[in-house]
Amino acid sequence: MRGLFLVLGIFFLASTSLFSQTKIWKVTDGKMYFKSETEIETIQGDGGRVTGTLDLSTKKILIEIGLFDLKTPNRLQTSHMHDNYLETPLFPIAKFEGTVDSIKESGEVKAKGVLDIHGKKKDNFVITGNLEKKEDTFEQLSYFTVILPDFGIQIPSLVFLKLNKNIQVKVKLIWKPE
Amino acid sequence: MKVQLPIWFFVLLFVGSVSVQSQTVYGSTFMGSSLIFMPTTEEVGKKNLVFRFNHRFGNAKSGLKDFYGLDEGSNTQLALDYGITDKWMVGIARTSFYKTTELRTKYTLLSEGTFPFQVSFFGVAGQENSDQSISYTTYTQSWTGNTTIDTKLNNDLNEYQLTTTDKRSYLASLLISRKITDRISLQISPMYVHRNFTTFRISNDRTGVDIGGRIKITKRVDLTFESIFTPKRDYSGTNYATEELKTDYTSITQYTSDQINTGLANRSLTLADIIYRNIYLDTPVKYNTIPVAIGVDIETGGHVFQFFVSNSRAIAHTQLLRGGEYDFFKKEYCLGFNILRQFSLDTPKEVW
Repeated sequence: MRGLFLVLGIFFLASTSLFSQTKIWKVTDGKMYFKSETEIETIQGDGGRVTGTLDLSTKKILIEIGLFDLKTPNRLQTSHMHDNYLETPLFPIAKFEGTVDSIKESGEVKAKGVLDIHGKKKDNFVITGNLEKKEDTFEQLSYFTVILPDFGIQIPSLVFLKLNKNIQVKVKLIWKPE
Repeated sequence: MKVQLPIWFFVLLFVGSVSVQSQTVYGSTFMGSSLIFMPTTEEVGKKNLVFRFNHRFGNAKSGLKDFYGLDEGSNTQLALDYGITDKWMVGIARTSFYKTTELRTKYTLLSEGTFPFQVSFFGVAGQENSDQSISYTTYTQSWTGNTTIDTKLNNDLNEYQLTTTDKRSYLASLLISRKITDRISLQISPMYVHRNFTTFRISNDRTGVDIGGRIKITKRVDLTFESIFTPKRDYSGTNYATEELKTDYTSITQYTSDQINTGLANRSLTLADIIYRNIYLDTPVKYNTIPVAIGVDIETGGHVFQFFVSNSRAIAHTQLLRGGEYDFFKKEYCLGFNILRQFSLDTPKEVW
């Protein structure tokens, strides 16, 4: 009987210590905002279904953004963005795959890796994020710029006054340790 | 005129594509919220305003002499459409033909994501504001001897002035569209028009099927086509076959091919006679043909330009079922364009 308790006790101890050690963070909620500013027109939009994982042991980070529900207030602009620029039917997902420099619970974190948009990959792309702890989740805010021609998205000469080739992107992510 | 065949062809193609194609096709079905004649199932979008500027020039038959119809007066429409919600749009349009003002609304009933087709209801109420009168068939002569009074009396006795209610008409239509492949979209829209007043032999109620589509050529250029199949048009004769042969002058008709063949064979006709009647006096018979148009849609950042060749100059939706003015087989057609500009009236949320 004593032996059984001992065995059970050891088992429980082992299991709790095993599960308390989190290995992976997952994105439970996320949103993406983007902005193009020129002297004539400012185009703003939001959307995106964000999924992502962060492996604490290997420091590998993977973020995927579904581009289908990306939209601007102007309906025609939205459909042209999907049809002519992002070509969403062909390239429905934007992906970032890289490694983070350190694991923190708050403060600035840097990640370096490959950004894949519109079927084109860009190496050594650096994204910095600001982490903030909120109860059992972590909120991350990142700002970066995507240069459209880098990803094979050309702006027609008639439109260049209205659309900036440098698109400012803001990503808000809620991480949850698992 | 056999109009059923092409309709069934497109309906079969349309329905057949549902069974053939299993995976969903993404992206927009049409470039703008309107095709050449009828609106598309594309939604205007919440708090979005669409401004349209539509033009149909005159008969291009005489070619460069009249600069392909641009010298003639054109039929113009200015229109505004506003999206109250994503699915519901209301709009107003003013057309220069018959000084027509139209109120219109479009509502998305079923979306293609959840249903094989995108289905919208489209309704229009039209009011013509131009002075229109109909002469009675029997002429009553006034007899007072005073010319001023006589002229006035003759007008009043022999002409019926259409009232405001007479010049009102309504359209109801179901727009049914499907994105068949990434490049090809089709839309079939059964439609019904009621006119409060029509002349003798022309019924107040009219039905038709509008078939339109687009074929994407490049990212920013679409080839578009549209036709309105309607069994009856507003031609003034009794029979489409004899109406085809009408000329500028009453009682002089064109020769049929049979008449030409036999006439030339037994030398009762000369070539000059045929040329005079069939070519020189040849004139379009108004509202005799089925409206057909072929064109291109070009997108340039926020605008959509639509250029096309059509045999109908009507733009007002309630006037479409009257039929086309020109006949492609007589080399008659008109050039036209639609320009569409979309604005968002939504105050952008500052997200930065």
